[in-house]
Amino acid sequence: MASKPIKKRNYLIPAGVLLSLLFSLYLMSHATQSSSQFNELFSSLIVVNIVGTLFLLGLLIANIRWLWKQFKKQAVGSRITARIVLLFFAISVIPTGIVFYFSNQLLHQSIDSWFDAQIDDAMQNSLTLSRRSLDNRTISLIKETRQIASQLEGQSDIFLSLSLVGLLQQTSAVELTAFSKQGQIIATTNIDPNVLIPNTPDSSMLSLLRQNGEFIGLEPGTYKGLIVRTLVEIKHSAIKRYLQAIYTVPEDISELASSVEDAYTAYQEFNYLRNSLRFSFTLTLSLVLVFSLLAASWVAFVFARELVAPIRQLVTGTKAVAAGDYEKKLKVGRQDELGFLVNSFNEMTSRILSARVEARTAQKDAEAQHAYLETVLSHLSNGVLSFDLSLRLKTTNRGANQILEQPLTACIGFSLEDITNKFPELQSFTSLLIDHFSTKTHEWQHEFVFSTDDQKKTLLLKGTSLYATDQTLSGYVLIFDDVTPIIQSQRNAAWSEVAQRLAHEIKNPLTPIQLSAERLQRKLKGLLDDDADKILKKSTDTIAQQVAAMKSMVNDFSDFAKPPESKPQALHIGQLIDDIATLYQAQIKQLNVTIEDNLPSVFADSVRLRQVLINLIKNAQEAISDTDNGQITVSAHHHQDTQSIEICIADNGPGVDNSELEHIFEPYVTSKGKGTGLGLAIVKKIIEEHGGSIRIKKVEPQGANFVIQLPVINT
Amino acid sequence: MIWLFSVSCFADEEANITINSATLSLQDQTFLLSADINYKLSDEAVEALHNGVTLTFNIDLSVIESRDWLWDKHHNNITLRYRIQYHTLAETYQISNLSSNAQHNFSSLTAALHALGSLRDIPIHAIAIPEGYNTQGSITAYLNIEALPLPMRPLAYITAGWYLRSDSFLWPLNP
Repeated sequence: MASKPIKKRNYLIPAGVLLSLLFSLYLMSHATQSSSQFNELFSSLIVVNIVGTLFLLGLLIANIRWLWKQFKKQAVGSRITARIVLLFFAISVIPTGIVFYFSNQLLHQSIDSWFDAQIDDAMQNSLTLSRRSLDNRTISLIKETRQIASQLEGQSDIFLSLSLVGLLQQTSAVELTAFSKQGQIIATTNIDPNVLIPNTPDSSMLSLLRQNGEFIGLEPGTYKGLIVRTLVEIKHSAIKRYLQAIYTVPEDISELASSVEDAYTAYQEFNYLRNSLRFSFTLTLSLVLVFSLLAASWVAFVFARELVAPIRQLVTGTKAVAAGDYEKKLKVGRQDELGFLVNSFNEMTSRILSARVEARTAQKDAEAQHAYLETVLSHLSNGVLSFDLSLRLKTTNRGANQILEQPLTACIGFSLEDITNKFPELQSFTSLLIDHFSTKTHEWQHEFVFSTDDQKKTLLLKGTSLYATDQTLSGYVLIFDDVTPIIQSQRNAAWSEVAQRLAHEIKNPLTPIQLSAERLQRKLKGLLDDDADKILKKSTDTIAQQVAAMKSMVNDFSDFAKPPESKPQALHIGQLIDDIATLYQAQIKQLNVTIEDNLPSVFADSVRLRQVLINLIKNAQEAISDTDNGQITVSAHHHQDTQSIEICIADNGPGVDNSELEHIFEPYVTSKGKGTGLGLAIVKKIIEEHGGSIRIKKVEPQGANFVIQLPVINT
Repeated sequence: MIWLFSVSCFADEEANITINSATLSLQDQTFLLSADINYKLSDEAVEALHNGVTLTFNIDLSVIESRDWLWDKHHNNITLRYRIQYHTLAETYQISNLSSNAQHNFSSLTAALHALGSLRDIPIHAIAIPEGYNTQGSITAYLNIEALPLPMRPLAYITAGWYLRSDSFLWPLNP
């Protein structure tokens, strides 16, 4: 699963603004030159630069806010981003600040150095000199105007016009004009016939004229050069009239004076603009400084983001891997060392993933194998125990629990000593294991008789050592089986064979013996005297009785060896017990019968099962015959866990010796003085034919309890 | 704009430009503009003038068509440009009409400004008044900061004394 690619930021707009600002700054610096064609754009450029700088500032503030939020969230890469930005800022601010400071200082000093008191004085003096030079000329010109005015004295307005034309020819004036007191033109004449409108004085000139009677002024000409305007009163007129005479200053003087004036004006203007110049240059420099800093800061952010992006990816990736997501793939968007790192990460996750898949497969195989072994072990009738090197139990199975009749599953991890402490009944068993595993390194086999409370079991133990793949000893395993039933069946088979042979060999001569005895009695009856006849009769009767007894015994043997054909059917065992108990109720004083309600049916031959119950009750009856207060208890219970019915026939007779317990169900084993010793053997055989089991338990303080277990019918 | 407005609020109340009257008359198929404009320069402007800085005043003339449902439509935006400069040597003030190149010299600033503000029958050729509409003449006079020397412009924009601008003077053209 490839991770989402980190969102590619669009840097085009800010980069475009940066370049535009840079270009704008270039234009601005160019515009400061007075001859530049961008001169008129200066103000616009300043506005553009300020707006652009504000945009960059906004961008920077937005970036700082973003960084602050990241920092507060302790987001990955926020610290390194902050460091890079601060580093960039520091790197840019120091040299830029130094350059700014010294440039500004240099500029101010340069501007100040352009102006000097001596130059001021020189300029002022040159202007004064020009004025003085012109003053002398204007004084002579006013005299000339006075003379013209004196020639116009007393003339009427009609003649004035004619006089002015004549006088213009005689003087150096270029224009003569007569005014009324209110400034109305009475007459005018100009040396240039194309000029129809005279150069009229303004109100302030007229005012000065009225006040002083004269006015003289130097003015710039309409197009070039200088003119001198003189105004005098024409005296002795009927109505007050004024004469204006305009003279041109000689071209060479005019040019010189204009040159001085231009230089002075330029210097004065320059001097006046000194502060403005400083401000403008400082403003431009400041804009450049701010632009540089903002640009550097923004570039720092861009650089930091670009640098941190793969690191953030890597952190996300490692977190994902730590969380178990080995399918995480990072997008490689660069070819540098970080790209190599991301590639390596991807390769690492791929390898981990494949290793994990292999490990999972192996684990699954191992689990399957383990489950298979457990299934096999649990279904084995054999007991299997495994131990580590310190003989601590590692595994056990159900067969072991059943054979040893102890819940060894709860003892996993226990040492053999611990197991002995927990189950003292297993002491002989554990001692044997300790002995064999400690001394015998390879396989060993041992037949062991294991005694429980009620019975003895013959166990066949096989021990072996376990080796790891490197051939080092890693533990032990014990496999054992309860061979008691096998031994028992072998014995039963042997006894059946013996019984069958005995029956066959003994039964055959019995009939001729019985017939011979009867014949002797019949043939010799009356032939012998009374004593002999009595002896004969007694002897033949004895023979007949013994033969009958032997026949009965042979029949028992025959039954044991070859039982009649069984006819099993669904049987209510409670009813059967009730029936049999009723038969013995009169004979046995204390016969207690306890039968659980609603007992399930068993699949059994009622005749043979009746034979079993009668046999056992008779046994019990005989056992308590010499006992005071003899008591027989017959009970039947249903066991849900084993789906079996347990029938107990207990008595408080003398019981059975321990030595007899093991062989009580074998033929010819009896504690009674009479009988063939086949009763219990037949009982056991019948029960086993019904799929059940029978065992004998001691009853405290005395007595024996025969416990039968028969499987119920599965519904 | 807000910045400019705020600057104008702090401007020297004495220094301003007011338009007292303006008329546009038709004579021989030519519109003639007459207006009385009162120029009162700020100290900064006077100081600059006396230090050789040329001041340029623009007079914007336009015909506004008033519309009921839409914004007013401006016709014929015409700008008249006048320049005043001080001649140090002659100690005179020269007014120049940049459109006609006509020049006049004045011995005092008051006279020069008075002459600058007295517009008499200035022919306006490139103008046409739409008939049948409710139209108004609009005239605005102001100091052109962009015509100042370059170093002065940034400061001039943020200095109240340099904000010399009249309100628009409106008068009906179609009685």
